[in-house]
Amino acid sequence: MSQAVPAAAAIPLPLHAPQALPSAEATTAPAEKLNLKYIVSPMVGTFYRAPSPESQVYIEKNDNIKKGHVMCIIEAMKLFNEIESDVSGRVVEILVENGSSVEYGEKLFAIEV
Amino acid sequence: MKERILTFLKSRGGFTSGQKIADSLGITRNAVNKQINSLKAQGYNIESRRSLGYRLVDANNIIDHASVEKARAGGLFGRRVLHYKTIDSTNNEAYRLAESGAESGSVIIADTQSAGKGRMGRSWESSAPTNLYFSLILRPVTPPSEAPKLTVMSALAVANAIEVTTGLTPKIKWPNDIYIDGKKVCGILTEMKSEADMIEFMALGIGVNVNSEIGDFTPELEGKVTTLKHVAGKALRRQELFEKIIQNLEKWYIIITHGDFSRIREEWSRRCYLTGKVITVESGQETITGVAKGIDENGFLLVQTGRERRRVFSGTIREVK
Repeated sequence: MSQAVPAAAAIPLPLHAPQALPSAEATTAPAEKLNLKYIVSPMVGTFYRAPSPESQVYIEKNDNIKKGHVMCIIEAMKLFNEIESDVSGRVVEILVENGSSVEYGEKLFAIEV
Repeated sequence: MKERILTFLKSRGGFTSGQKIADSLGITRNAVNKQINSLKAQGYNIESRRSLGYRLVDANNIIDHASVEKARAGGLFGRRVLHYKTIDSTNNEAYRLAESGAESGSVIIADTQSAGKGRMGRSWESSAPTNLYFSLILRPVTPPSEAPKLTVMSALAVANAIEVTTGLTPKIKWPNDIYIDGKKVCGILTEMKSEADMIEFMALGIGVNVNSEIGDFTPELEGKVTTLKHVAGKALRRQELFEKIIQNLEKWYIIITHGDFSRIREEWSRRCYLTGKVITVESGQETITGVAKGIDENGFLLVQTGRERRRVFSGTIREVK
C-alpha cells in the first residue's frame, strides 16, 4: 500500500531512474482552472486496476476518493505494491491501461483536489 | 509394502506391536522388521521398544520456534519467530504485524494456511502441515524501485538451502519459482507498502513443498508440482530447512543492501532454468514469444523477440517445446 507521489513533491531520483518525475509545472492545467495532482508510479512494473483478474477495480473515473484509498497495484517480479492516494479528490483521468507496463515516475491518475 | 506400514503406523499414533502390524498387513514378522529398518534408513523416525512395538515419531515436521530464535539470536533474521498452527495467510499476518510495528527480520510461520496466496488472486495449496509456509518482514532502507531485487535473492536463498539439505540441484524459473525435475517445489510472493522514495515494509512470503505426499495436491496441480520428500526419496527435517533458508536470506540480504547485485545476478544465472529456451510471457494484456536471455542489472528478465530485446517485469511464463 504505497503512498502515492504528489508530482510537486521534491523526490530524490535514484541514479538509474529511466525518466524524470513530472515537474511542478506539469501538475496543473491552468486552461481548465482545475487543481490537478498526479499519482505516479514509485517503480517500474505492470499496472493493475484490480487485485486479481476476477476482482472489482479499485477505482473508476469520476470516483471521489479519500487520502489513503488504494488506487492500483504495481507488480514487478511477483512483488505487489499497493498504491494509495496521498490526496483526497475526484479521479479525473486514469492515464494507464490495465495490464500495461509503467516506468518509474510515470503518471497513473489525475486527481482534482 | 513400506508405504502400507507407514500409513498403518500413522493411523495408529501410539505403539503397535510387530505382530499386530504383520497380522494386519498379512506379512511375516520378519518382513515387518526388514521394512521398518528400510524406512528408518530413509529418514523416518520410528521408535522401537521391545515390549511395546513401534511408533512413528513425526520429528521431521516439528517446528520448535524457540530453538530457531535461539540459533538466530545474534543475527538479523529469525530473532523473533511466531509459530501458528493455522492462519489465513502468513503474508497477511506479516502485513498486519508490520503495520503495528513488528521489527525487520521477524518471521511468521504456520503449519497450515486457510487462504495461502498465489499470484494475481490464485491460491497456494497449504493444507499439509508437513510443508513450509512462512513470511519474513523486511524494512530495507532502499527506494521501492530496488525491492524487486530482494525477490530475486530470496529464490537463491531457498535454492541453496534445498541444495545443501538434499544434495539436489534446484533450478530457478524467473523470477523466483524453484523447480526440480521440471516441477515446482517453491513459490515466493512479496507484498509491499512503501512511500514514494522509501519502503515502509515488505512481507516476503515463501512456500516450500517439503514432506507432503504428491497425491495430496489438488488434481489441477498434478504433474506440475513435486515435493522435496518425493525427489529426495526421504523425508526432510522441516526445521533444518527452515533455519537454513533464514540464514541464507540474511546472508544475501546483507550482500544486496551493500549494493552488490552482480554476485546475485551471477549466482542466479547459474541456476536459471529458462536461459536459452523459447518462452512465452503473458503479462497484462500482452503475450510475447522469444528466447530467454537471463536477467539485467535490476533482475528483470530479458527476452529476445526477433531483433528486439525486451525487458519483462512480470507475467506468466511458459516454455515453448
